Amino acid sequence: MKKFMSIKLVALLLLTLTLLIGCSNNEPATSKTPEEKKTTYVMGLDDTFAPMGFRDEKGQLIGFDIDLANEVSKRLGITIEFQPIDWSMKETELNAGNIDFIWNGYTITAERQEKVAFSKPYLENSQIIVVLANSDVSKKADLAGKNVAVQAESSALDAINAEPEFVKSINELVEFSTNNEAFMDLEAARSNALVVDEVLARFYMRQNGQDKFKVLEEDFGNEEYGIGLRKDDSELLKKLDEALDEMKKDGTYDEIYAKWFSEN
Amino acid sequence: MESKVLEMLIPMTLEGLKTTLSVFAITIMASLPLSVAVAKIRMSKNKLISTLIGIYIYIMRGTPLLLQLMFIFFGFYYVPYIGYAFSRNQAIFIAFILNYTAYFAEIFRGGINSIDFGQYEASQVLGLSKSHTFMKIILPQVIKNVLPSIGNEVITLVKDTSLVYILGASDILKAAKSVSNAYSAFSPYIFIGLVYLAITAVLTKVLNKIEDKYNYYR
Amino acid sequence: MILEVKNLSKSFGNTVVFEDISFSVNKGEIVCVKGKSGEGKTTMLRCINKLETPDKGSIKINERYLCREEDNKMHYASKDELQTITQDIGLVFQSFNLFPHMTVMENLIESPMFIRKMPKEKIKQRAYELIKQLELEGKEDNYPYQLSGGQKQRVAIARACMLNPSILCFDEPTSALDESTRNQITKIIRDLAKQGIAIIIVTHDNNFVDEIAETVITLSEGNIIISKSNQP
Repeated sequence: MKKFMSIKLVALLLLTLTLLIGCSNNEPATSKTPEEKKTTYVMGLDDTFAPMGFRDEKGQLIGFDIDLANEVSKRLGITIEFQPIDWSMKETELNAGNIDFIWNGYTITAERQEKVAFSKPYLENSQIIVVLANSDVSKKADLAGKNVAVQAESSALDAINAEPEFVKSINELVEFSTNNEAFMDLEAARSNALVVDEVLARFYMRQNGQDKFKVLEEDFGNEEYGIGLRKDDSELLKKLDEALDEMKKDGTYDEIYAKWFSEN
Repeated sequence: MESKVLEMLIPMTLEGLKTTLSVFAITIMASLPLSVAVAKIRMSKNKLISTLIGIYIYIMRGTPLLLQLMFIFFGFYYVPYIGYAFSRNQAIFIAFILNYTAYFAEIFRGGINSIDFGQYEASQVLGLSKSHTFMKIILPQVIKNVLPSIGNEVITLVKDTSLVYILGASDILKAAKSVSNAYSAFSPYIFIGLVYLAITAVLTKVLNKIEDKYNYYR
Repeated sequence: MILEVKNLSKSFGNTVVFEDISFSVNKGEIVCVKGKSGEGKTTMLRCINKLETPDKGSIKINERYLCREEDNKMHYASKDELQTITQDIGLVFQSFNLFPHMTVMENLIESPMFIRKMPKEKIKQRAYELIKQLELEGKEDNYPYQLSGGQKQRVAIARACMLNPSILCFDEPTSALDESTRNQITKIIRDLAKQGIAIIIVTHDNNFVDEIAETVITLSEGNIIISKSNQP
């Protein structure tokens, strides 16, 4: 009798869970089973990464990468769905098949190339060092014993780690989940410097007052942005590369570039 | 706060509220009844079943909810035999319900244990069945006893909903983050803090009302 | 004979609580069970009320066996039989065990509403009779915490009487009472006995035993001594 009641309760529990799973919103579990003529692709992005992909005042996704992706989708006759993801989960999301590519100021690094297939680079960027305008720091060596802020899981972090003597010389490398938080920490003067993608830094400083900050001449090297795909997705990769080449040739790329970045 | 920031923040917050409140409401509605059942099974005389439930509760309380969200969305697919690819929303609801059911179940177990054994004996002598005794005699007294602890967890749940960011869901905290990044401003976070406080204030009111309702006896 | 206990034994692990005790109770008889604490008188009462399972012997209530021994094997009443026997015997706990979240009236009708498919009005009518008999008028909508010790006890008695039992058991009924409520309970128990209900009282209160008992059963070291008193 007692035993029977427990079994009934277990059954009830399972039933409730099943029902809940059944009723809860059905976002398709995407491309676990690759189909032949797939026309809808899911693009994973951190939708707070201005100016590459972020939200405007109406909550719409905008940005340099968004414009490029929309142009590509038009040319290839495919639909691209934008899926916000947590940036620290991006490769996990990609390889689990929840998203089809990472396209969001995604820097090409040797380490990442082991995990994902990159398109041809479509934008150049460098990892610059930003300090407060009144700071007496003027070169990397001045940062010895100081705190340096950086976005977690970012290429800026990889670039810093590529210089172990520098890492050893500083007091602490403070990692934040977004660059915005890293900037706030710098403004609060808890961090003495910030290593960040140039494109993002220029956008932030334009918003928040150019005169509050200064950019050091030394940097952590140049880098290139690419689109990250699963390694077995070579056909899609080829198509994306062709579309980007075409856009560069016919001037569409330059139009979009001019919309988001000033040349000076 | 600048008006352009507010202009962006308000609609995005309203959109984010849909996520925050639906995760909250569905978790509460599913976990509360489930947890009573789980507490009963945990106290069952069947050693195997009660041990299994004990392990489930241990895992749910012993690991971060964030990790559970990640496991159910990314990791569960690779579990042999039962692996399944849940959608984002499914993964969120399953993780929250499993986690909160475990916490609530432990509260209910304590509540059930605190009831004087004389209540069971009186029911037995009066010829009431086991299920009638539980539903009509024990449970109403348990609910009165556990209300303050349940209330605590309910308020924790409001804040825990912010963990859905790890699966890319857009709740109110994410709305603040988006606006903060778009305008490089900190004020959206303060605004969203006030939204959390408002939700908590309403819940505290409701919880006090329910406690009052159960105060008709001592 | 309403209750017949034969060769009843009970032990917890290696501790023998009582061994091989036999006695019987007639309609309307008031029986007191005496003994020092720990001598097993409450355990015996709990056996009769099926809160404990005896190891050996038989208990017969109104010609129905709660348990009996046959060929050295114990047979216990089935679920259906238990349901019938339950209605024939009532127990007033030492701590009353009223349901704190229910009013006096709800406490009274809970069991009859569950067991009997009788109209609620009939059951309430019976409740009002008992409320009157036990001088609880005006208390039917009160909660237990609003009652005095004596009132709680009378509610517990009324609750146990709702199903018209043939036997009513009391566990230490005078333990929490003052002089006046004590006299009141003595009168109530006598009245119930006059209606033909057999009364079994477990107590260590010798004055109370002298006052009320017709038959005294003394439990000592697991055995019993039965003596008739000169009560009318």
